[in-house]
Amino acid sequence: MKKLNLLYIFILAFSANAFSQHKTVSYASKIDSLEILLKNAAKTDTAKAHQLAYLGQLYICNDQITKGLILSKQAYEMYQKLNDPVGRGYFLQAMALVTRDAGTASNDRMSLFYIKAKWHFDQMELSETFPLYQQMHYVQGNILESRTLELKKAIEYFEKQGDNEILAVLFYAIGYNTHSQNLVKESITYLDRSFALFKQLKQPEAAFTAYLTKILALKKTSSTEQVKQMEQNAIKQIISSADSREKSLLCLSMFTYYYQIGLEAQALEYLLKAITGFKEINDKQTLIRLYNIAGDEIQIYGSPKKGYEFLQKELALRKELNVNDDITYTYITLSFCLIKLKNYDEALKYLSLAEELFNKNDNPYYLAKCFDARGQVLMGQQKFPEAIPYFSKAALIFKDQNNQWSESYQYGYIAGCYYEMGNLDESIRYGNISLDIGKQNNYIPVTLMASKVLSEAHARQGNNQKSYEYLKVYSDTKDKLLQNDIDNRLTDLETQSLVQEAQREKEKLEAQTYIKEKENEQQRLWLIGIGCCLLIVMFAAWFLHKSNRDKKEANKLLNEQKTQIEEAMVHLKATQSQLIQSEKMASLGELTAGIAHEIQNPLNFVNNFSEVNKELIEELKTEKSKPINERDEQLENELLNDIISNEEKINHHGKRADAIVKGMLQHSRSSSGQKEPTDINALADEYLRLSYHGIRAKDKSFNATLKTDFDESIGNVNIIPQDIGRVILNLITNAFYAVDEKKKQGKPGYDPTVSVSTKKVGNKVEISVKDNGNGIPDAIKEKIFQPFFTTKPTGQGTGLGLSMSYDIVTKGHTGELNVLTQENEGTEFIIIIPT
Amino acid sequence: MKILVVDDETDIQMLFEQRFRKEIREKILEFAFAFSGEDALSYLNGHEHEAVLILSDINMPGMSGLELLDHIKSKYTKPPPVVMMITAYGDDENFNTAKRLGADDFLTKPVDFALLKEKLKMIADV
Repeated sequence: MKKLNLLYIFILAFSANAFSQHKTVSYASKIDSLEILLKNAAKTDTAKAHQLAYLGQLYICNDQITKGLILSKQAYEMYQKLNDPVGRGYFLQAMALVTRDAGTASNDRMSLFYIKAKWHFDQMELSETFPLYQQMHYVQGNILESRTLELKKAIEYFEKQGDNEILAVLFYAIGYNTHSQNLVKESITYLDRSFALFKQLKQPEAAFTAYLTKILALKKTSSTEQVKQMEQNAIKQIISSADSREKSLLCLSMFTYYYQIGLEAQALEYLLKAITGFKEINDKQTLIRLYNIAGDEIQIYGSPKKGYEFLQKELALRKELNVNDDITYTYITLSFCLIKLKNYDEALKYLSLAEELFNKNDNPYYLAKCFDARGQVLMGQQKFPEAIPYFSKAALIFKDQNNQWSESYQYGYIAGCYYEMGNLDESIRYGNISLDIGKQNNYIPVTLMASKVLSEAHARQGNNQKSYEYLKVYSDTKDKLLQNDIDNRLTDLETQSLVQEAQREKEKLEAQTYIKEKENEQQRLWLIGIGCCLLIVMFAAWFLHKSNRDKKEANKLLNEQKTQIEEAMVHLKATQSQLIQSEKMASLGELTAGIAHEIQNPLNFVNNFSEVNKELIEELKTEKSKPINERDEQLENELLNDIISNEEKINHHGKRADAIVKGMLQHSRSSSGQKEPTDINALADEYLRLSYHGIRAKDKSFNATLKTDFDESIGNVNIIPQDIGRVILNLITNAFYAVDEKKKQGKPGYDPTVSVSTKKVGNKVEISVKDNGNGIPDAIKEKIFQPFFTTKPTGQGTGLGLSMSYDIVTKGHTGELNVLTQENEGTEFIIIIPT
Repeated sequence: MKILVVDDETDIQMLFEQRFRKEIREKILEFAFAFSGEDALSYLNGHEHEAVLILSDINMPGMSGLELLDHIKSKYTKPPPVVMMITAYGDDENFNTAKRLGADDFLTKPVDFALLKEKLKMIADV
């Protein structure tokens, strides 16, 4: 994962460059013109040799390796005859071009032969003359095969010639090429031959690189034991290396190796060692490249502050030497450091510097990076809607470039922005795209970022099951990270003991030498050298120890966080069920006052009508006891009729009280989940009254006009009455709250009105609850169905009313709960239930 | 004595008519009914100074009993009608507000008609 990242950065960065120049420079046409020049005008031998060397390199660039090497060799031999050391420099350049794709370094200017050639010119106090190197193009997958064929032809030719130096380089190049083609056996054979030849030629650093490449190839098939043994051999060689130039190169190769297998802690360690080495030998040009990589790597995997410091060192050296090539990338990386340090103003300054330097059409990679950075700056400044277009543009370019790593990052950022804006559906959509790519390619940071935002978004949508699933992905990925770290630490520990062992061996050896040649003056110098080496080793040990300690702490922290998240999840579930219960109780509380009033009215009638009847019956009795001629038959009949109609009233109001009590019981009981044919109009009417009196009981000053419009044709509908009743109650209570809020603003002529209506539409029943309150602002419209979202002051609402209602209607009754709202005009909730 | 009864429950009319059948028959009491605060006001406008006693339910949709009380006491000053408030739950806040607005007496639901008759008698005697 880590490996891919850095490789992408460089390959894309340089291939973009190469491509743009490739269009303007045609090797073939240059070759043609130079051939003509050679035939006609070779005034001096030096000029001829120079032209030959250049032509040879052109052929190599044009993938005519055999021809190119023949010419390069001819030029080298001519220079040797002329006793001109520049010939060796050009020859090394040719070697660098042959191995230019062979993974000696992730940065072209860090390739082994490139540096060797550069050192050669440095020694002659000549400034670097290597025009072709910048125009390199990289080997694409589809030309790997033809490249191998071309290299085989070259090998055949130079085996006949018996030129071991060229053969060693060719074996190395083909070894790497076949490794890229996954031809492990073939690759190892070539690399072994290369290793042997380089040793024979006394080029230990080249042999070392061939050896490391062999380990890379072996990793694909061989046992870890064998690989481990070879890694240890390599480290031993670095420790025992006495020459500081050689040692710097070895460290650099070791960095590349670790980097390619994805152990970035070890990679960084050797990169820092290489930096120390190159400082010592004062190779500032190479240091610029090393600082650049160190800065980039450290800001990604470690501290952005430290990364920033390295990049500043790079800038200082660039200024000193007036080197400006590829400085655009440095500026962009600096701005990423500053974004991480939340210093957005400085970040924007570097971005502007970068943007001035490159051509937007030729450098889509830089352009995408700048969009990415600008998006992150806006995101950091909480300007989420403005950030999204930048991320989208960056994603598009990265996608075009097949840079999935960076592309998936953009989607993650977009998901984060939408989440902050409360647009959860979009957040989830982008989060899923990001997560898919992240999981597919095992991009751990992307997976972490996407699963986190998905978990949070689903939680806010009230989908706890999904939220938990993504939380699980998040914590599993963290575990994976932890495992990687543990692996790294083990390797660390092994290396550490190896260093100590080597140190002891060295000490023993030194002691013996010391006794033997005590008086030799040279010996004292030798000792000083050893002292220096010891210091470096001790520094390395200290660094290892420190990074190990840091990692332990980080692991501890990660573990703690994991436990915390898990505990929080358990706690959250418990709290959630408590809250649902308390929402029920809260709405019951709202009802109680309404019920008290509602039940008094029927009781009033029951009591009084029965008392009246008692009186009427007494009166009837008195009338009946009168002598027959005095009895008023009309009055008797009147009395009897009144008694009957009063009885009817008693019966009616008794039933009314019964229904109210039943409704209350149903409300407090948890839902039985049983659907039964229910008169929705009666249900709505009942809850409207209950709710109204409930709110009046709490707030005496409250008042509102109630309107009802019931469609009598809907008949009985199969619903769970207590659940739908709860929904209606909720919506009506909210409507009352809304009109009351608006009334409190004291607008003249405002008549708070709440309307409840029912309607049959096709085979569906619509129940509408409408108010003329302030409406729901667009900003929170998306959130109203989220659990725990409430606009009421703290403690006054549980924020579960609407989310519960939504669940009851959509899940319990496969219906819809829609909201129509206009600011300052009012809100209408419509429950749609299929009959 | 003329009495206006205001309540949102329509059955109240039948109840009063039954409860006071003797008094009505003997023309001691005369009842009018309104089923909302708005109805009550329009009745009062059409029959100025006729209603002597207004029995009002505090809890009514639309204009509440308290608003009605406020209206009556501030508008109909000469002579001010006696207003009795009926409420389902005798809580202090409602009671005090009604008192402050000039309510003359209180009844709670369920209405004790024996008590009401006594109170009406006292008012008639004064």
